[in-house]
Amino acid sequence: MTIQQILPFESAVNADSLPALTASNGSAGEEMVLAFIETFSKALLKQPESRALPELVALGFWLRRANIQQVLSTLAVGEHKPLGLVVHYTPANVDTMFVYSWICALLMGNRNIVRLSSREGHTQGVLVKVMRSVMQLPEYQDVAAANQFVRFEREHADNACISLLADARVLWGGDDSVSAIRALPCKPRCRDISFADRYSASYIDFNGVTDIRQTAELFWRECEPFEQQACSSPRILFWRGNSEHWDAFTNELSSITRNAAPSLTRRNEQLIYSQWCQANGLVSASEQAGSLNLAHVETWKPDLLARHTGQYSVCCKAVINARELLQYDDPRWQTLSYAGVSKDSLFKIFAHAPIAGIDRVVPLGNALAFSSQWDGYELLSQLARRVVFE
Amino acid sequence: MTDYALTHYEVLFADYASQPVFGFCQQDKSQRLRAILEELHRYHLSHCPAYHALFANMPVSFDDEDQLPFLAVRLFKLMDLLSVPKDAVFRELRSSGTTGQTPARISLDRQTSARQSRALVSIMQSFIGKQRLPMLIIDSPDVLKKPHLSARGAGIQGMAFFGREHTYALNSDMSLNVDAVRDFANKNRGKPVLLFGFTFMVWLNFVKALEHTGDSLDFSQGVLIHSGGWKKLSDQQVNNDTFKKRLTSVTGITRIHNFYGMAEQVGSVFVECEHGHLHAPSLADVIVRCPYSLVPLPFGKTGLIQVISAIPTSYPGFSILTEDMGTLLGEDDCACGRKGRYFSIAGRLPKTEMRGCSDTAGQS
Repeated sequence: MTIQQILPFESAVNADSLPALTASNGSAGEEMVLAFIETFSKALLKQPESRALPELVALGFWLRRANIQQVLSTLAVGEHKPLGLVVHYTPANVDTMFVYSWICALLMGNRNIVRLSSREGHTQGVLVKVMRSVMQLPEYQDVAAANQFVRFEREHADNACISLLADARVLWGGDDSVSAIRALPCKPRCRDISFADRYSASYIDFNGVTDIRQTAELFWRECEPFEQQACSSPRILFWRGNSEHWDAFTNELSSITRNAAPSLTRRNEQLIYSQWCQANGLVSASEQAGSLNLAHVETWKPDLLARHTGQYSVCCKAVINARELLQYDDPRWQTLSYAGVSKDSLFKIFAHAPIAGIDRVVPLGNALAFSSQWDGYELLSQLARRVVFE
Repeated sequence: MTDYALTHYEVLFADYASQPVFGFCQQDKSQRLRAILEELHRYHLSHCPAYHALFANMPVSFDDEDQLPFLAVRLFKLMDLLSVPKDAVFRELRSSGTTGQTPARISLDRQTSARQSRALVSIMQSFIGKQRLPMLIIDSPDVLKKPHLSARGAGIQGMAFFGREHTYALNSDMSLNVDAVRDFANKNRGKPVLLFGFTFMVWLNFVKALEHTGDSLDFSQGVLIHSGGWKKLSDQQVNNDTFKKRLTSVTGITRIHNFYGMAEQVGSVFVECEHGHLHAPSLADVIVRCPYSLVPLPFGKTGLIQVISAIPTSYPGFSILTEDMGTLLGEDDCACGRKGRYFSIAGRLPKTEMRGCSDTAGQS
């Protein structure tokens, strides 16, 4: 039974003859890989179709040589060695996330097999086209030999074989699907990096906000991509302020969100979500601010998110102060983005608190900006072995 | 407010339900219906906590039907919604639901169920007459044997009332029971008969099967009632015209009526007239709303269909926003002579695309 190879070129291959299985490991931060990533970045930013796809522009920007060198600069020179073969299981629709974790693995000198979702969206199509053009350049034949992107069904017999060869597995997906992949046999020392179901929240202290318009724009910048369905898209807005602040904010949101891509199903999905919340006593009322549906939460419960499917629905909870956020600690809470409050004051609250959630605290507008510290993992060091010299 | 609302409602309902089912012009109809719906709104506010949580802030009287609150139809899949004590529920109806989806659960008490039957009788009799006709059911008898009555089973049970000498046209494996159908046709040659089935099965397991075997039947005095959605047929490029023509050519039947209805509002069905239009009966109505803003749309514009029914008291489903798209075509002026609104269905709202990390690679 063959599987479908997508990159570096399209073909039907046997899983056991994928070149990445026998290629040699690279070394962390090697120049050829840096040059490859630089070429990839330029090709992505030059691609005319990227311009309409902000997630590709963001990716291209993150891949710039200057940024990659910055990311690498945190590592001790010479102490990090590749793990070997990293197998990546990518999410169905946030088309760019798997590139970030793949690049981290690549930078550490690993060989990679990346399983792409079979649902090929437009963004993934553009991405694959650009990557193919770069991976096929003769100067990057070593990258092409050590990295293959493939597609196969979950039930495919080779799914288990590939897993058994992995030295590390990077798993993107919902809880059930991550657990299903983790149940596949693997080497005793195989490392799993699991990106399962998470949600994110924003905190805005309107007393500290000078420009409400800009704050609304930054908030929308986090909600808009991926129909608000990425794990770092805010689904909850904790806010502090008075009703004048709130009205001004929702007025701004109403005008800003008019640019949202129209969707035939969105308003109905919002209605279903807000009615479900309200009928279950979780929400007291909801209001429409342009494309966003804002549900007013009386008592915060994580149950609120059980039926949340993005679609520009935001649960809004007024809080007395930032310290109140500690009450809502939840292991599934990934990102806290903030405005109208300083990083230092949040640090004071969270640094010594025994919190189980919140892996990232970032200024409002940056929730979706990928960093090599993600979901509580330091991806680079997790995707390498560190040699201790004493 | 306990049962004053219910009593008052019952009085209004009984009076209105005894009137001709397509006899009111829209203006009179709206006015009479609105009085009943206001009672229903008040009744569910005081009897269904979920309904109260949603609509306690709404007014209790309305100038127009389109001001009534409406529930998203999917809520019936996500939670139990009922307005009577659990022990008053004598039947739980489940929507067919696509494989893997949670079905909707509709709780019926005896009164609601009786009203549903009564409404269905007056609507159907206006199309097929008062006499019970020999009936061919284009389905397998097995569909009634499942522990939970499916919407399909309930639909058959409901329609079986209008016929006698029930004959099932399909075997357990959904193949055509040629002998049974032929016997039925021979016995009733040239006489009025009633045929009932779900649209897709009528097409696939009856029309196509007859075409395949080359059998030709004489149901020229028959009437066919069918329902169940066009999605699978439009996937095969079969529209209502093709459906009717091919059906006529294998059975000779010319009186063919589609109807639109749902498990969430059994009883108030919208039947297609001789001119191909779906008609709102006296106890029900239709509003079309813009899918982007949910505001009501004028005639001729396609949007989400809101269905209104004067029937349900055991569950708060008298005003529901469906996930079906359709178009109001007019009111009071259909060439068939029926009064009130008439409309057409344009298909289901497309499935929402799931994106995001939480949608999984494994399931793709």
